[in-house]
Amino acid sequence: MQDPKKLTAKEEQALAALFQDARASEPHPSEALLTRVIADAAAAASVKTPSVETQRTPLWDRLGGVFLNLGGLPGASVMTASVMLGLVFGYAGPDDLLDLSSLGVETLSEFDTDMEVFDTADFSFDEGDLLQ
Amino acid sequence: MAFDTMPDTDDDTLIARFASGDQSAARALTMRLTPGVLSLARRMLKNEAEAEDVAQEAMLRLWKTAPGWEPGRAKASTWLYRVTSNLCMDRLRKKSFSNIDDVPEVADDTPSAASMMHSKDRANALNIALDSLPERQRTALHLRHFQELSNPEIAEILDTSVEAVESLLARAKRALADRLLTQQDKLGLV
Repeated sequence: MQDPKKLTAKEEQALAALFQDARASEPHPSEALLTRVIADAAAAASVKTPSVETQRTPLWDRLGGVFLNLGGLPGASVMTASVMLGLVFGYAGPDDLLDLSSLGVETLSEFDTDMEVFDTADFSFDEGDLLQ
Repeated sequence: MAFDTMPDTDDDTLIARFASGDQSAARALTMRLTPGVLSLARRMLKNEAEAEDVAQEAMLRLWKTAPGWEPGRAKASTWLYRVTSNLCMDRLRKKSFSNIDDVPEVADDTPSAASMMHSKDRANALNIALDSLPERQRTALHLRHFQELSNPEIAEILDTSVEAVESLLARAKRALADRLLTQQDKLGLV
């Protein structure tokens, strides 16, 4: 398309004056339109955030819920014992740990590692022998 | 009603506040943005009732988009003008114009020389001349001289290139000048 003839400075100035008059005389939005737009905003906001107030659960009730999730008293007891034992082992040095043998716990070294060989062991048998 | 009740707060902040439930932010946005949206719709549709419908629909889309609005990603006013332009185009297409740029020529009912001396009448003359332009030229010129947007912003709204916008503006202003400035004495521009 052929380029239109460029406006002169005087033409630009004249058009600018006309645009200025037109901007100044533009009608404002009606009160009714503005009211509808604001009402739409309120409606859109109420869809996003329901007006029902949510009450905060008391701290004691929330702690009770956690307690139940752990398995009640037995579960909480086991967890507490585990935590305490873990703390003991974690902070105690090797020398401070109780001698396990004093607890009556047998160690491997106390076991007789010689296995008794069954004298009568006969690993060959006919089918049906066991039934006799 | 007073306009722009929070002039020191930018659009992004107001939108975030509205999304958080602040209705005063909605009021401020309404006062600030609705005039421009309505003005553009009025220019494109040349019908006040339809322009109000489009303006209300465009603002409703802003309210619904607000929770996911990303600050700084787009200028709220530019986004709104684009929505408005698209809504107007949809309405114009439904009216079955075969070519959206073929707007029927408005009859030349320029007022007499005496009445044209008043600025309101000069504005009237300009509006009549604008209405005679093809739709895209008219829209581009309106966004440039009524909403005072830059060429890149206009390009984004019209979904076209900056060069295309410059061409639209040049042709539109040439057509206006040819139509109006031959009557400069009547328009009191001399």
